Amino acid sequence: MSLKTTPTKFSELSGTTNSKNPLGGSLVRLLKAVPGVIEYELSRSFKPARIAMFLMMILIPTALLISVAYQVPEQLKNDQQTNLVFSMLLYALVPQILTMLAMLVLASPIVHTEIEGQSWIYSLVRYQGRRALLLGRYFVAVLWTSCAGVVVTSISVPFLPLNQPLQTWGTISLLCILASLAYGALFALIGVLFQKRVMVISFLYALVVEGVLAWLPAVINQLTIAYRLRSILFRWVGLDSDRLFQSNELVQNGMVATDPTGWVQIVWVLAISAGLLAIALWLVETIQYSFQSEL
Amino acid sequence: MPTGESREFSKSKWKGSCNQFMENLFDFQSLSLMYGTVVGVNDLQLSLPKGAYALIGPNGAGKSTLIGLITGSLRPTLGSLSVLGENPRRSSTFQQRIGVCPATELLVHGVTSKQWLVLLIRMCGWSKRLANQRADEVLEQVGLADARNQCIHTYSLGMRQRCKLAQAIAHEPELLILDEPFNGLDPIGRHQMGDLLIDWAKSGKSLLLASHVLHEVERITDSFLLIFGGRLLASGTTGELRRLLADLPQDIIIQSETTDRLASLLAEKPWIRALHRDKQANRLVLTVDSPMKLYDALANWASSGTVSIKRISGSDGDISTLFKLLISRHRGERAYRNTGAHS
Repeated sequence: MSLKTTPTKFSELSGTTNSKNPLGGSLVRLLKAVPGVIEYELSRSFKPARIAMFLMMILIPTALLISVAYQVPEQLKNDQQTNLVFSMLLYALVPQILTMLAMLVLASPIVHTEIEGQSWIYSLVRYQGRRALLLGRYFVAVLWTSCAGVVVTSISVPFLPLNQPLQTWGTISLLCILASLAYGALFALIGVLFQKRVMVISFLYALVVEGVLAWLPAVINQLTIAYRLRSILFRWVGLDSDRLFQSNELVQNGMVATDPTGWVQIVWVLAISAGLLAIALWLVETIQYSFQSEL
Repeated sequence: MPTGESREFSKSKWKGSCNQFMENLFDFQSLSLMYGTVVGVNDLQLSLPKGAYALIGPNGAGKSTLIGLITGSLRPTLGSLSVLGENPRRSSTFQQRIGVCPATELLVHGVTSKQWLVLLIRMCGWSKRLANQRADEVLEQVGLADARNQCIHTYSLGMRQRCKLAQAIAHEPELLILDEPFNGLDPIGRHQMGDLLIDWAKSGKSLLLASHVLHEVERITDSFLLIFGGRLLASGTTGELRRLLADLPQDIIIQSETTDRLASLLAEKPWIRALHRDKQANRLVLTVDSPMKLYDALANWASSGTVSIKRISGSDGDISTLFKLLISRHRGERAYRNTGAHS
């Protein structure tokens, strides 16, 4: 068509590069943007629905733990085995189930809700916007979930028959934070990878891998987050002497790491979290999501 | 009808601005995007200097896909593109140079426009203090200063559109991209939005406006890109497009008291493709290959008293008619059947 302008050759273009970014490099801008997202998400979080969910997250496991504790006969309350059982129960209910499910609900749909809510485009057209959004919402999810876990632990521990309540409280609280970080990163990655039925996929993953594989007496259980968290629990709560630790059935079946301290497992959990999060951050900028109707 | 000078002028104007800034707004090299077997954008080859452009096309024409490519949210299947001299998907500085106002409804709940704007400005790497300051400024600019602490979901459609525009211009981009900004707006809202965009274009910054509301677009810019089926049908200024319109085959209705004489004269002309005489209404319905030649001939015959002409109806040269003509030509139809012509 005669009206078209003549295409200019790229070689004819000069000065095509833009001026230096006045707002700093990639990492600096990301670090500047993430607090903005956290602040925004937190301000949105203090709404009746979220507070109600938070209260449910606290009340149900707390009520369950205290009601079970009241069923224990008085003579068994100081028993080593009872201590271990209640430590395990507290661990299973709080860092394992509560934290995992809460992170599943909060971290899995980070991308999906943005696409569904037609707001993905706004972060997409901002440099590091997607990463800032993912990181910001991840940290808010971690904050809410670990807070809920620590509150449940803090309320429940005084009512439970535990020989070392303070140590148990500290360990379980730490496990809540570690579990939030690790499961949050895992579910955020699943949310970045899958655009449809992300909650179902996350739930199936949690059930099959963290629920079943983690309890198989095989090397494969070492690939799960639950294995690492459980190992910290066994080292720091209930089985604090090496004799008790080595003689435990779970330890003998290879379902708990035999490191002399729990610190190695903490490093493992943090490394897994950082690795999963790094992959999610890389993918979220790379994947071309189907949101064409948005534009 | 525009003269040849206007066509040349616009070309030299575009060329001149190329040389002046040494950086084109868009450079598309065989740009194509496929959704599986469906063509989204088909072999676009275009270079445009900085300026304000309207991207015109019906639904499904490929406007949004092209915007997706321009913003870097979509990856071309074939070819390459450069926007403001940068590759949208590879440049680390590109996103801060563009502002995008999407067509979709703004569905943000429980958040005030200021909170939302501050978030989006901070996402660009601005500090909290500057983001707050800038959010206030830009809300003032779009006329939402009084409603800044009101939740977005309580806004009217027009206010939400202005809020979308505010986020697009908040980080002071060089290029503003708007997809159907007039959607759902009442006449006052349309006028206000038009004024805002006119101001933007006058400020010397670049603008790409995708719309099918043609008269509002004509108010804002006189440079058009007509797109259909993922292909660029035409591009140019209003003057150039009107000239193109005059060169395209179209239907013309002539009311005359001398229809017999006029019909016999016209029947001899090679550029008359079809001629229908409606004796009772005293009118001729013509399909003309070259309307400019017809107008010349009619002027000659009328001035010499050979025929008398009461009224000529036909394509009035507006962009809507042109677009229909171009689509018609794109589809391979020989002449556009002018149903909506007015005198």
